[in-house]
Amino acid sequence: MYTPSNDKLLCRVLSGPLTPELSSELDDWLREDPQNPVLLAQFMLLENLIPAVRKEFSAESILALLLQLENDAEPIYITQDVERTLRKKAGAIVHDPLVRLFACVACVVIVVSGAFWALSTLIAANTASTAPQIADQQVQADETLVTDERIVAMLTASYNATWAMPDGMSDPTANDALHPGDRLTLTAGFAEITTNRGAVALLEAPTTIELFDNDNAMRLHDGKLIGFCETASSKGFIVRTDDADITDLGTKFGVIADHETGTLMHVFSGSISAGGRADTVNANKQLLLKAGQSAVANPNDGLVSKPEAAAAFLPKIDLSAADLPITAAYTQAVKQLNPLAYYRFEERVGNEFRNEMGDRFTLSCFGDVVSKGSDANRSAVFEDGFLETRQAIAPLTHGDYTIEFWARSEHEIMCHLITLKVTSKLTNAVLTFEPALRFEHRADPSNSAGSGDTISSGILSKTGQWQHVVAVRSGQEIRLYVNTVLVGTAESPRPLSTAPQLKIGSNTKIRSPLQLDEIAVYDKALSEQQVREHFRLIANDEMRLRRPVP
Amino acid sequence: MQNTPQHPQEAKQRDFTKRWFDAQHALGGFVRLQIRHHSDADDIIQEVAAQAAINFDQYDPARPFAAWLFGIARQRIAEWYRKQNRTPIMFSSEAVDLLLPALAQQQAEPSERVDALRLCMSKLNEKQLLLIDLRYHHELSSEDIADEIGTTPSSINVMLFRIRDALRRCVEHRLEADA
Repeated sequence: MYTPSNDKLLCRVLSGPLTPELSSELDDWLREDPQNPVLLAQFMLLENLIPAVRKEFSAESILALLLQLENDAEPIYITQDVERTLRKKAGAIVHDPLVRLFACVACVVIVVSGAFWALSTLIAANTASTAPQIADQQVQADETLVTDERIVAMLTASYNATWAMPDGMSDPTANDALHPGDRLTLTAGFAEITTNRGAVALLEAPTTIELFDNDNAMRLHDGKLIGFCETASSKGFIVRTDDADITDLGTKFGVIADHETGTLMHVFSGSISAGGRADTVNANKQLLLKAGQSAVANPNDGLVSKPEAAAAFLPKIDLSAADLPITAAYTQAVKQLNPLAYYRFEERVGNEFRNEMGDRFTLSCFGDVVSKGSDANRSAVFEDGFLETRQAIAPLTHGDYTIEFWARSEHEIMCHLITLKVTSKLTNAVLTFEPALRFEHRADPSNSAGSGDTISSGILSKTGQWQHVVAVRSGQEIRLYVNTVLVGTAESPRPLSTAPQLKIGSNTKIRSPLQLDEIAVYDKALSEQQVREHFRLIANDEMRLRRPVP
Repeated sequence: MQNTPQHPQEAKQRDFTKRWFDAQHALGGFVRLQIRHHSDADDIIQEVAAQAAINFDQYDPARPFAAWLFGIARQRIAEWYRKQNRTPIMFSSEAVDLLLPALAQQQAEPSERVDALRLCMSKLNEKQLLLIDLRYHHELSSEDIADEIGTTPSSINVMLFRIRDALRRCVEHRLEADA
């Protein structure tokens, strides 16, 4: 029975968190009346659908709104996305809610006759999105590469994009509608395409895609595509290559198509189903991949899983500018992880650089170290000097720790980057360019290189590019990441035995200036996901795309 | 549509996919009511999907598929609590037993429910949509939302409940009307 007291209980259950008392009250209430479980079941279904529907933007919702408007006198809330598409459909500028309402009515007159046809097509497409295998056949049936005027997707964003379009066709720009048969070749930069059902495909040049008569699918001829399917309606998004059909099951995934090597796929989160194309040697082969798994499909290897290939999907971005493009989001993300020390080098006060996380572990300057760069985007430049904390950092002896920083040098150099030191002679962790990047963890302090657990990365210092370096000790292992790629691991059975001071830079003069920035020291192990997130916050700002690169 | 004979593996995958899409919203609601953090809830749902797909051979078709998924989800939720060093607090087994038939009674196709909700949400006013956005998109707690719009957390809980209840009534009404 539904009563005000039920409201109170349901309100508490929906607001959360569940407590033992609430759980017990809920049991009593569910037993009380057979209608009560039905009520809770309805709320449960709603709880899962609200976030997805709220984010959703698709032609289907626009048509539904238009159809509803015809039968419903009540005003309708229209999001900016919907408004933008309405504007495209109606060819009218819509400003305030009243004008918007009239514009909608005008739209109804124009499109309502076509809407029933479109809606029936959408219902057919809906079947495709709710059952990937059925969708697979649907795509085959729908893959008619004949240009028509039905909108199946939109170009929603681009960055530094250049296109090679067929003669007579102009380059697409943001908010352009895309139709079945449209073939787009991105020759430089990045572009983001959103299907009618809300799946987002992030393309990185060089890439060619083609759309067909399906609201939630595209063909990737060659190049790199990262798919995001975060709304209920976008699930079932299909990427077709020469070798495979990749069907999303609610996820973020990447696909690289290459005429010579075949199709590489990787799942960042969620899961995908990959099926060999019916007209290839992989016909009838199916793989289900979950987060962190990769697979390849080609005529030689078949359709087989392969070692994690996330690195292949890292964006190729230019980080050669002298100033690292740090954003507020990046600094906030670092601070949220509550590092023991976080040095941004924005200002040298007297002889010191401050720790953004408090008064402890301030860095004192010895020799020639300066803060250089544009306002609020400065880094520390080392030529003949180093920085050092006066206090030892005791929490680093507790076991896990992480040292994260960005480094850049114009030329190949050999020098110490970061050292955890006990005395001027004895050190217990070092990160060096020799000239390849090396990370060594010494449980007991020593002055002898190679006496600890060591990772030699083979990653050279001579890049002219900013590199994101993260050294992690986690459990009984050390790891080293460069630009999010795990470049090495080594066993590390024992934690640091003595609390060290942090030293940044070298005692000796460096042949070419070394820039370091955003140095953070944590008394915990950063996960690979957190490492990726930090890199992504820089890379994404560079690209200014709406969707983050995983 | 093609009428080629089905490979057994393909038929199995198709069976799993169909069952998954039918049960996913019930599972999503089940997890989200117990794990309030959306990203964590998403992770758990994905883990359940992957585990269910891999172990689909072990599923007994005589039992409701949702019951099997809920069983996997309970293990994952308990694991999540353990990682947070907290004692698991979940719906009791009795509550789950009572909920499963009630969920089975919800006859509408998932896509019909989505369509109905979409229409119902279009009727919310801007303030109501803002609250939904703050809670579900920005994942703010009631305390943070209260700070944001200048009221108390309990008022936010009540306002959100009223919105959810209005949406629930509207969705059920539309589904009945369409039936």
